[in-house]
Amino acid sequence: MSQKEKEVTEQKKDKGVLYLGIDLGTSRTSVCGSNGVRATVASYVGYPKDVVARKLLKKDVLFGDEALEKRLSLDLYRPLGDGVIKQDKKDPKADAANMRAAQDLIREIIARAQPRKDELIYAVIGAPAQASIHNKKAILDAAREAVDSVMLCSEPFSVAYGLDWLEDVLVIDIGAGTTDLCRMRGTMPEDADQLTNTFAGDHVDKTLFDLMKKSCPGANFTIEMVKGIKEKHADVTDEMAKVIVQLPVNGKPTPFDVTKDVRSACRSIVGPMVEGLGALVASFHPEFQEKLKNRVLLAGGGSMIKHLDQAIEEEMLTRLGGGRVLKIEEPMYGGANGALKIAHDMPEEFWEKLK
Amino acid sequence: MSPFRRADDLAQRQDVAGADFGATEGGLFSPEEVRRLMRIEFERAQRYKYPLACFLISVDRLERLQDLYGIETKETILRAISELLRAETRASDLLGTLLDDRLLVMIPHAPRSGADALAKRLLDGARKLRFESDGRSVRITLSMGGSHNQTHKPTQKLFYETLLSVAESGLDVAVQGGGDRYVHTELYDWFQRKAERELPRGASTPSPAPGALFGADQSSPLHQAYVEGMRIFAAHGERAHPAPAPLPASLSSEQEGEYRRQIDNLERRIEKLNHMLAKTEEDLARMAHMRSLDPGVASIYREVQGLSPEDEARALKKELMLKIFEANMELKQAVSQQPPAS
Repeated sequence: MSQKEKEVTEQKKDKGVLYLGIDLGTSRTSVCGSNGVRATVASYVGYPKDVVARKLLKKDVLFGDEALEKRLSLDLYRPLGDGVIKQDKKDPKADAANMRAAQDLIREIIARAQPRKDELIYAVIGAPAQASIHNKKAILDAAREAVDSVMLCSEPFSVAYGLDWLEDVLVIDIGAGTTDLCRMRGTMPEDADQLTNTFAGDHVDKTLFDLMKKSCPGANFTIEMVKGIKEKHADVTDEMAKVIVQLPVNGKPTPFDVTKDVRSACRSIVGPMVEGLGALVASFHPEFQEKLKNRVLLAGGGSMIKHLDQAIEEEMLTRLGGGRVLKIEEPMYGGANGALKIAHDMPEEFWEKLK
Repeated sequence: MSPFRRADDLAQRQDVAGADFGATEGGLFSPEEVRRLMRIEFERAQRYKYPLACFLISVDRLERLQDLYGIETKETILRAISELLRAETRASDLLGTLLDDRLLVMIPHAPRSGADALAKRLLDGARKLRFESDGRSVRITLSMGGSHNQTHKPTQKLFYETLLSVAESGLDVAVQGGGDRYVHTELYDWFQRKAERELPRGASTPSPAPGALFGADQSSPLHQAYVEGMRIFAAHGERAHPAPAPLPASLSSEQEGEYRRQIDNLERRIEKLNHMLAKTEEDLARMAHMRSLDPGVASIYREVQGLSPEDEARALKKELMLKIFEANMELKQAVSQQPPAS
């Protein structure tokens, strides 16, 4: 875009202000806008493998479930792993491809918010706290192409801010790559207030995959199929409904009972999570520890595992002598809602300075 | 004079050679039977929302061929056509005759594109049929009208009569255009409204005023169309065109018939233009989408908001906003020193 065209575009942005809250996740990326638009897309990006595939698909880039569906014709990327943009120092080519995919994903999620060209767009992106400067730069570069001003903030913080729980709260954000635990004490969380482990959605998938390999002899299945089973049946209680799945054995769909496997895989994240909670509680001011234990907020896609809150409470009773866990109402949009609220509350001069 | 007969290889097919045309057993369904079965199939298609196509077919110049080549000509030709239909359609498709030698075909589970392809095959197949009489070769062609249950606007409940009427209107156009063609008029809305108008009126319908035009029946479609026309002229203050002269208080049945035809033609034309307009608008919307001309959804805010003065945690939030901003300013500076991303 020439300087003159840019000026003309900028001059026209006088019809309103659009705030965007974006949750950039390993599994799903979501956006909430002050225009009422909400969108979520699986964090997959695919590029046609060759000219034939491009002609057939009629697109240069595919996203989300569409990319997964057409993955055989695509070079498919899941650009975020363990909560950050994947980096492979041994393979700079793959590194660059992941970076490009992440940038395309950010552009796409902004486009899905359906912004108007005559409005100022201010966005807050919930990014993983442990993202490297290189990562953050890639996110900012991609976002700046489509918005007027952009800020990054910690994901668990945005969840808590969205619910107005700013003091004496422990946020557990269970994503696909990582589980982030964040202690809110009425100020911006510091490094000591945050813990991250990789016992998250992907870990459950992997554990379930391994368990099913043993319990479903002869069955042919992929990690994506296992993920689908988990998303449909995830539960941690002994009384959970039976999970009977049809898996192909020598090409013939065969029923298997995977109830125990699903339960065991889902429970595998509870222990490490409560261990992390214990560490954050133990290092907190002794007078406020009890309050903190009773204000645990469960967020992220992983919080959709049925009865997970009860399982954490039971584990807390054993390890920490008790505690109370609350699930947020909208796990899919919790982070994006909070980021949108931060964008709304941010003073104008801050946005201007960051342009 | 040698009898009128088939002159191609297909004539020897055993499965339909002895079919008694018009009877249920071994041939096509009788008109009553076919109407009943097709209505059932139509209702099923509507209930389970699967596609269903309908064809109305007539042989071009059939009466004339009968006059020229004898009484058995019609039956021979219709049997050949039924044979062609059986060869080109599936066993589950419903084939039947209607009065006046038209054939009705109902094809369940056929998308619009499939129905169009089948129509083309039937037209081609009919062109290839060979007959002969007295050493002279005779060829035939078909006129076909089509309709489809998933072409009209899905918000409206489609009537079975509408489906037939659209196919019939297509057949009329095909015949009037010289035959040997398939026409899908898409006049669903027009026939739908007509079918709704013709439904029995409830007790609440106002009784017609005495001394009205067209005799005493002010509720007749003809009268309503005339009144509507007058209203449109008045509403638009049309001065360029003179207002139509008032119709005489009583019309002969011939005049009334002529007016009805004119109104029908005009309504069809309007419907067709509306359909074309809707299609053009759809195309424009699609092109706009392809060229990223989507105007987007407007935000509820006209200006930058910031923290509300009434917020109870305003002081705390202000401090948090400042910290987020400072962290992002630091990031901005750090990022500016980084090499550009690949």
